[in-house]
Amino acid sequence: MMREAGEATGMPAARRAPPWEALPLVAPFLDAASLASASCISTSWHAAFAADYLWARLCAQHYPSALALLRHLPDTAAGDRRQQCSPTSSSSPHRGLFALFRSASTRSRALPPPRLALADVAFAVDILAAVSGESILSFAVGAAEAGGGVRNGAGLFLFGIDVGEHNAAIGPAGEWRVRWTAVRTGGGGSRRGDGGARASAAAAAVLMMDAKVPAARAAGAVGFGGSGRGEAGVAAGLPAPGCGGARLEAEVVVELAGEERVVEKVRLGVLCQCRYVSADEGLRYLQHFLL
Amino acid sequence: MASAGSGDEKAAAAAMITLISSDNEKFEVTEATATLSQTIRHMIEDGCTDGGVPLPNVTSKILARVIEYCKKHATAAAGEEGSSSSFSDAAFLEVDRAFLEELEEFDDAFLEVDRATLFDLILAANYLDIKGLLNLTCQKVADSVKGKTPEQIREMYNIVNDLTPEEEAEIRRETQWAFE
Repeated sequence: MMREAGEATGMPAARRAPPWEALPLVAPFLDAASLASASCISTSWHAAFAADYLWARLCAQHYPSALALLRHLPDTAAGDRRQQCSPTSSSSPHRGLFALFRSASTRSRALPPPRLALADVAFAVDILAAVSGESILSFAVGAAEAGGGVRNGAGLFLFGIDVGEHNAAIGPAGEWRVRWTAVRTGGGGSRRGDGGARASAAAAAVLMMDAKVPAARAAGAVGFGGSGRGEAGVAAGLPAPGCGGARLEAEVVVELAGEERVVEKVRLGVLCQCRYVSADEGLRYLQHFLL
Repeated sequence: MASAGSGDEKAAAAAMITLISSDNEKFEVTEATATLSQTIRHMIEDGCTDGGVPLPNVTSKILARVIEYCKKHATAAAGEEGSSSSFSDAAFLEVDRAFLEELEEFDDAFLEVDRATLFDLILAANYLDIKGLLNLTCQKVADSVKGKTPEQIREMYNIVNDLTPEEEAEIRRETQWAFE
């Protein structure tokens, strides 16, 4: 008996192509990944392994609830829009459904990188006398240039801008206001490489903060440690981005020096639960408003 | 336990069925062997096996292999029936286990054929409706494909890819998840 098996393997007939019409009989024995792999071997293999009933069976086995969804899904989800362009692609709705649910379980939980770059963003800051509305200090700066000014600030959405040369003094006056506006100055996003789109993209701006610094805090800002230096800050809730999520706060801190309380540095940051968010997180927040 | 040969002799007194391959070769088998095929079982039940059963879809080479499988498994089935009446007997269980192991070895050796023959066996098993043989042969092919890339499968089966690059790209795009 075993001898016959030996003869069979030794026969020259081993070279002939197997009868592929047996493939559909094999198909039910394959798991989803093998089925997918086997369906792009050749035309006959595709015909045997891309049959919709096979994928319907796999859907029923792995994602039973998915079957009820089929009639709710647009055709594109099942991927049959290419039927016109290829005779082989007898695209299977259930295979599309399987792919959809498969992708749901393997989809990366990590957030996508922001579509906005620091280089695309500028900040405009006004410090005003609360009562008179008179400007004390106003400046605008690109976010990319303002990044390095804060100790331990690397990688955070935290910016320090040296403004000593403005020689702007808050003075002994009571209350003052801080207004911080973020502006998209660059093309931003996926169109960044495209010069034409960049020119046509309109600038966009979002008000990060418009808050009064309470009189008590402003008054107590200078003098601790007798160094003649101090700082005063204010934080205010940011508008919720389109997707909700954690509540963020904008913070502006001014570093002051001397009797006249000259503004030496302004720090801008975004906080989430008392911690500065990362630069990417800050940019993802901004892109809701600016892109 | 009885070997396949003596099993034949024992059943010789019982009805014999003649199977006729596509190339007109005749094979005499016992009814017990032949009825592993549901197709032939139905023919026997319908009483239309006189003068032999023509099997125009099966060559003599493949039919010989199929009969080899059926003989072995028919005796296995007979053995199981025999022992089921006294399955509390430890000695019988021991014999049973040895027999099952032997049967597994037989199946493994049986599958050592070239790929074209394996596919012929699948078609024959399907046509003759021999569930055990169909499962055995299909599983063998499925195992050979499992975990392989399309390139490996093509090489293994010596397949020329007749899909256009566009068609292949399209199919791969749809099944991208399997290649990640």
